Amino acid sequence: MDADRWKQVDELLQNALSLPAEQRDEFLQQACGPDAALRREVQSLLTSHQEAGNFLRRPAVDVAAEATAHASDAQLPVSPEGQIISHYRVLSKLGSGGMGVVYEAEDVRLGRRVALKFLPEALARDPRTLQRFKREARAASSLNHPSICTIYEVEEHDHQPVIVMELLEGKSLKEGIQQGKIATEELLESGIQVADALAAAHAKGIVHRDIKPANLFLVDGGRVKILDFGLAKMAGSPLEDGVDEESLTAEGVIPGTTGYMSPEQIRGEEIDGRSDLFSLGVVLYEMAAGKRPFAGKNRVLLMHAILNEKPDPVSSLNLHVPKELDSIIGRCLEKDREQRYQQAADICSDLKRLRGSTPSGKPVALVAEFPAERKSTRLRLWTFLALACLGMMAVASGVYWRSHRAHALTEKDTIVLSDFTNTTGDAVFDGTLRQGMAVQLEQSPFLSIISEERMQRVLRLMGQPLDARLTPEIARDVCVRTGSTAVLDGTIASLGSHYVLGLRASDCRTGIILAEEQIQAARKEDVLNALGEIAGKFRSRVGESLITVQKHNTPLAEATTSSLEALKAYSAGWKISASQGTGAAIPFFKRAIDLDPKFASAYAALGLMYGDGGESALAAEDTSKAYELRQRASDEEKFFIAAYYDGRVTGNLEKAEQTCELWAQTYPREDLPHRFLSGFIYPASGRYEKSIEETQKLIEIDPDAVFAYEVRASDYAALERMEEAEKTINVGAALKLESPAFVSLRYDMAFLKGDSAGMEREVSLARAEPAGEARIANHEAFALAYTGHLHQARQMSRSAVEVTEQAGHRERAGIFEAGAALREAFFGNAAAARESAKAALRFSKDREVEYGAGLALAISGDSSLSISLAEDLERRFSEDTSVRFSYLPALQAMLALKRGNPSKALELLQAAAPYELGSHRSSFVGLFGNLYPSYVRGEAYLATHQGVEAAGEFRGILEHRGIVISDPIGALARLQLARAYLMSGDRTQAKSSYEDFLKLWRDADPDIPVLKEAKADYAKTQ
Amino acid sequence: MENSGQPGNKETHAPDCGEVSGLLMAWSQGDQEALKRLTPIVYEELHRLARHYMRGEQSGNSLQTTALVNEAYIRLTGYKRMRWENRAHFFAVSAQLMRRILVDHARRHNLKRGGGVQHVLLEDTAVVGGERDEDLVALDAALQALARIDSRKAKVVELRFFGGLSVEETAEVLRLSAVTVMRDWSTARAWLYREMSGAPRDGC
Repeated sequence: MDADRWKQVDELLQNALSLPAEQRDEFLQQACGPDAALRREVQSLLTSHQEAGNFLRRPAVDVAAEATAHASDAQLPVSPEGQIISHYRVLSKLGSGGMGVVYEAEDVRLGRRVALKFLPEALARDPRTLQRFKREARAASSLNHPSICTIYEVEEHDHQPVIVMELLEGKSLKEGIQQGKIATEELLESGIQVADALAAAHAKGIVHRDIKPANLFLVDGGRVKILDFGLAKMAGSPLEDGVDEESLTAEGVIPGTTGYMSPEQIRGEEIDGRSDLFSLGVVLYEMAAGKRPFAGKNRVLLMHAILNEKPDPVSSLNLHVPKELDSIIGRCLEKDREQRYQQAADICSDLKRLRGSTPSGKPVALVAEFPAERKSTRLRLWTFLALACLGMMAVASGVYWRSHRAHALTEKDTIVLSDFTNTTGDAVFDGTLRQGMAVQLEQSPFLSIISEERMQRVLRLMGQPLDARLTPEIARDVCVRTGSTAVLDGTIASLGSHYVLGLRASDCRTGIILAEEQIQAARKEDVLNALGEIAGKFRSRVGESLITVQKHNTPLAEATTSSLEALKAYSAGWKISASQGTGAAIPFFKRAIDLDPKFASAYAALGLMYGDGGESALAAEDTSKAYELRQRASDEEKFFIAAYYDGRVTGNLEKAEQTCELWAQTYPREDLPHRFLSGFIYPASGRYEKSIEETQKLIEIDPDAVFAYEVRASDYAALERMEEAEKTINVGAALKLESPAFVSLRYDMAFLKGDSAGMEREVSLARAEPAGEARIANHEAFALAYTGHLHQARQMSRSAVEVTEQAGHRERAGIFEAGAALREAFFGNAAAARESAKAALRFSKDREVEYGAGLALAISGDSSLSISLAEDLERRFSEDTSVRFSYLPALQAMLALKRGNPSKALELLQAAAPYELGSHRSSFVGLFGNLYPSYVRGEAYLATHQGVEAAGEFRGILEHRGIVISDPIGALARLQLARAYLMSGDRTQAKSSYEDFLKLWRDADPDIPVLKEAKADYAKTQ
Repeated sequence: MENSGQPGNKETHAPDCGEVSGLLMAWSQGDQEALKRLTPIVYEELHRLARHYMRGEQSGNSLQTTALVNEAYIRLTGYKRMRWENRAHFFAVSAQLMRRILVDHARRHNLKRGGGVQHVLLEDTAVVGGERDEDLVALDAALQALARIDSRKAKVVELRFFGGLSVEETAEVLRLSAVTVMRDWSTARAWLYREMSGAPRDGC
């Protein structure tokens, strides 16, 4: 075929496919015109397209793996062909597939042909399963009816179970139906036989559970045989079939749904023989109408149809069907089994009565209607057997799962956990189980539970208290509002001395149940283990790969604590911290530790709470303890502990960076590593652009992360990209994101713009909250001092320190006081600086306090105390990135400078080069410290009379206002720059720089020493 | 972090993503040695999947199998970790490799089992009704025939079926729209099905 012709065929095919099936013929007639060959070509492709079914739907590797599985299964230790097993001589293989290999064999003793089905080794490996299988097969073998495929016996061969059964030749009713509607006479005959067989089986208490055309075999000679009686019972439910082919291959065989199931089967209730009668009704309907009574595009819709819909009467679809058949089928299909036929024998007699009244009045030899090819029949036979066994293998082991999902979760979906509904009356489970479940599920790199931050935000929107109990209803509402996919509800109830835990995941928009599970725990101490087991099952159920489930699934007791009481306190701690703040949560975590002194996560949480309250020393103590015990935490928690330990305790940001990168890689849906990287790791080394990238990732994970907007705006400011900084703030404002840090940030941005109205606005916002007042006062103190309003700054600073101290935050008070000391020192008030520095040290020995106070003392002439502080920093924080590369170089260089050794100072400052533009911890709370090495280097150059170099340093500080912000060196750099220009002989530039400084300080307090010096220097340039 | 039992410890048999990628690159540049070294890695994966298949069937959980198949592709190609200069080229090479190795595997398999009887099924006959069972070897031949008529459609099949790529990914590799890929896929599937089933056709 040439290319043009093929193109034509392709286009016609596609156009035809876009039309409804019944219009295609007409379309091709018209489009092909007289070209009959073209029409036939397209027609044949259309036919292939319709027939292609699942052809190529599954990827090659899956197909090959399945074949390999079956092949290895088929490879018996020794091929049985030609062998004698018990009294059967194995002849030839009929086929293999699913879960076994079927051979034709001769019963040597009785001289008859039989079929032997070898079950796979896999089955034999589990003795319990094997036992159960044998029991069921033996029970089924007790059935003796002409319309039931007989199981002769159950043998064993090389520890493998072998079923010896009747050898059948013919084809399935399924294929018969595929060839079109079945004549009423044939239908009645088949129906009578099946009903009769069911009556016999039900009389023995055996329910088939999976009556469907594929299990009804039309034997040459007109008999119908029911295959695999009783075997479906071992599956717990019948197999998928027919219309659901698409969903079957897409999602796999999930036992429990089929177009032939009865309503009670769908509901998972105990079933009896009447369920088989419903299924028989479906089969009869399909035989008569050529289609099934219940249809649905997917499993869920199909189930819905079975439960709720009343099918059209058969007679409306097939005019040859007598009205009486309508009523017989209708009685089979009653939803309520009490309204249904109660006995198979009743159907049988009704069908017989109808047969007697039909015109021909005699049975029809089915063999004439369904000629069968021998070879393909055999192949089909084993297929059916295999299919039944496939279901049979799905033996539940301890845990009962019912899955109704239309699709698995994807790695874009988030889920919401509700609080467990606890009907045990034992309060220890309140809150505890939800926390335990969260710990288990958070280990999954695949699943994402919505963050507490988002939860709080939504609860606020819903007008709920922040510590509201997350009832299933509230959780569902949160799920919908956050655009999450599923809500996970848990229950715990007592059953005698046992506990029954239930878990149900449902789609929060449609309410459709996605997965459900129940598990029992014999004792209270086993509840946590049971919880872990459910969580693991759930993870793989909803689509997580086995590999990650296995890799990251630390049992709950090892990941947290084996003490329910401790877990309860821990859970309460998190809840309180979310609703009342971190400080209020501290006693709960302390209690958790009292109950289990090896509870790593509780130490980590406590460390976090102290850290949040600015108590580094206490935070360090508990975080170190968590780090020590980190083997007793989940993989995910280990990452947190290690990152927090290095970020907060040792300050080794290189290590923290590595941890966070690996963490983000392993848990791509976790927000914390991105918070750490963007918030302080990248900024410390001046990598603001990388920090911005991280905030982007953070926003993708958690769109409500106000933190991301705060950090990103500061990053842009640090890069002097003020417009983008402002835009980021506006986006955050549009999203109604708010936090105290965000208010402070906006204050600083307004400060940088010289927007005093904006500054005032943020101050009043901050003061509305008690915790915000001290914080904003410190910002105001720096801003006031920046323009030389030192007296006002002192008052503001004093108030910030007092309020903070009263709130019990001594470390934070110390940092504020250290900031005050630095302002005094830089401005030349040596005595005031020394006093503040010592006051700061009385508050805290934190590294930022020691650094700020130490530098203030060095500038103000108290070298000996300053040296001992430098030594202390060096000793206690030898790994700390900021200490090593910023604090110590600046501090030691200042000391060298004061000793009159500026070249030594310059040498010491070389270490700071890689971190020159970094934003350090001291600047986050203390608002001081960034670019200090550069400032001290400038002074050293002035001391060595290198004016040009000095000017370079001070200009650099002025060019990075977004990093310096309101730090006093930002103001003083103008004055120092003037001195540097003067030194390098540039009087004009020097004069303009002096004027620049004096303009900034035009309203400054006149008694500030540096101002006096500046004025005197300036006068000399005149 | 050291000795903290962090996740990231490789499974003992897991192929190294970097190694696989390197070999793939070498193979795409004509190094036949690379193919020899890649084959056992793919086989290993195949058997690993096969083992899970058995276990999965035992617990009635094919959902896990689906996840595993995706996992297998990811492990074999490592494409999510690797930053290849040219993602499209990488996908194309992976699909070719899978085709080559799986077809060879099926060919040997058939020989061993006397041919004909033990086909590698391309569709779940148990579900579709046992109408046609064709094997990878026949598909390979049919695909070659299709390539002679319409090489783009053959490519689409190779990427989707052998490469395990989604419609979107296939579109990215071939620089086509997703709609075109879906159309190509449906025509090619019908054509291949007809070719392999020996259904009557008009040689127009």
